[in-house]
Amino acid sequence: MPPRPPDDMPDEALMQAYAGGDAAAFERLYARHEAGLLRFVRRLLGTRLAAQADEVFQDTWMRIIAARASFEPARAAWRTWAFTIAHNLAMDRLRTSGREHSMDDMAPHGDADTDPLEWLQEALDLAHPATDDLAHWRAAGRQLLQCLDALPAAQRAVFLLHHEDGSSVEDLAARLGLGFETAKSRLRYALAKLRGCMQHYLAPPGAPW
Amino acid sequence: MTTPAPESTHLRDARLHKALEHAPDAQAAAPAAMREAILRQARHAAAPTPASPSPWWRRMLGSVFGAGRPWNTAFASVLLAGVVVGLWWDRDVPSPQPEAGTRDLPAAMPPPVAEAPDPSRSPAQMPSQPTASAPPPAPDRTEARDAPRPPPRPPTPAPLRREESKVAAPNSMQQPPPAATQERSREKPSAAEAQDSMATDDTPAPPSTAAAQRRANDARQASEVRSSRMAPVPAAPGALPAVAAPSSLGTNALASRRSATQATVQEPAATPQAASWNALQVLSGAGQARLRSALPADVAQAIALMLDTGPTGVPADDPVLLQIQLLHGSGQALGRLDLGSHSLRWTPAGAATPRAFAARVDPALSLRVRQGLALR
Repeated sequence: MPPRPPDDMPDEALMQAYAGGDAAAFERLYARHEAGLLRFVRRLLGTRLAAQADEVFQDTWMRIIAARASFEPARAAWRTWAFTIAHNLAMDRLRTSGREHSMDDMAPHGDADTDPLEWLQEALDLAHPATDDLAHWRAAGRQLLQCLDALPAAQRAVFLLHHEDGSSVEDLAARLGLGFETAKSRLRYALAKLRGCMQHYLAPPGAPW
Repeated sequence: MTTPAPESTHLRDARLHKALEHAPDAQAAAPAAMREAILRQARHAAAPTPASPSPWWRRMLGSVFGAGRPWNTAFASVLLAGVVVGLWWDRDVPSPQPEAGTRDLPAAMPPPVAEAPDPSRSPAQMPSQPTASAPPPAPDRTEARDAPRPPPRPPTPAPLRREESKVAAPNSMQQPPPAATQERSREKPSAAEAQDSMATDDTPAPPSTAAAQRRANDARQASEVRSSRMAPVPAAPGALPAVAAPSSLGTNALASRRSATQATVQEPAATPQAASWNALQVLSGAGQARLRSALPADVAQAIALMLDTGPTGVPADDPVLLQIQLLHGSGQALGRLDLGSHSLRWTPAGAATPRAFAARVDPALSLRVRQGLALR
């Protein structure tokens, strides 16, 4: 039995070890990114397609297994590579389910920074933040999930990749095959909507509503 | 597992990131069954596949169509061969022989110089006549200088040459029999002298009528014997121009002559034949009819050869220099023979054979006939 790979081994090295036949390297890689990938898939699919999140998650790992020999660390980090696979699968599922809408249809008219997205607040049943800090952020988390669910899939994807995966705008543009300005614009729209949606939770404590 | 908070920018809100971390699904985990299925699949994919023995049919296919066996090339070659066979189906296979156009050159070609008679050569130097099996003699350098070199002719197939000799033999009288040769030797001091006399246009002394008749009969018999045996015959010094004439006519002339001879054979016996002439009359002059037996043997042979010549191409600007009317029996006209320097025209009288034709004639042969008849 091959020796177990060390815990601080980079993702790329683990993937190369697995491509070389080391199954333990894959187990470590899976344990390291299982929650993050599942969370990303669930949030990207939204509550409506939550039942398909596990299936997309499993498909993502199957793709990773099948493409183990074609992974090239010089081209992208493993996390970026894996999240791109998950994003593509989730977007395909959203596309087939008819949940994806064009940016033009969903884009608000006028300046995004000045538009508070009242329509989003009206659509959602906003809850007031709890006084307790942890409870406050948990409630904010729940609210954020609902706000994300109301975003277009493309904006939701760029927001999740930017905030959860830590990708830069340039990286987002490259991974999604978009222009830099397009990626930046999508991200700005998503932030504006979410800030408007999360207005009651993002205001400093004691600030008037 | 939580990811480290990325650097806050104007496009990255730390509060939203914190809210994401505290979302209800932050600690979500895949179901245990799904985890096991994924890990099992990963182990299965990473495990080296044992070399399981392949079934017999796969091994057989591998041995037949495996690498290193260019079956595709072989199949393509067979396919290409089939296409080629289909394209050449029912067509003649090309042979190394020349094209048909070259092979069927018109008979108007000049006769080969190598076979033209050379009066300056002595009988001893004369090569034996080409036979069915012997190749044509090499052209003499002197002749090559004097006459234009004919274009190369394709080799004539052997059966045609055999037939040629068979057809030409009866009437050609190319060489007299040994008896005639001896008699001629008695008449002349030597063959060289006779040849010299021919070269200087000195016609030999006219033989007696009996001797000429005997020579003609002997020559006719000898020709018949040769044609029946198909054997090569040594050259005779006295019949040099007449001997060279048939071979100088070319393949087409021979073929035409053969067809003419066959037509002659097919004619009914009652049809008068020009070959059976026994007298002639020179029409261009005021000469009287002359018996065939009174003519020099070579002149009679030359006329017989001319009659035996089939239709060939003739030069258009060759004037008629001598007109001869051949007679038969009691003065019955068989036809008229117009003789030019390079051509002849035969116009039969009535139903006499051969039919009218024009043909190229050897200039030396024409000159010999004209001179032989002019001296009389």
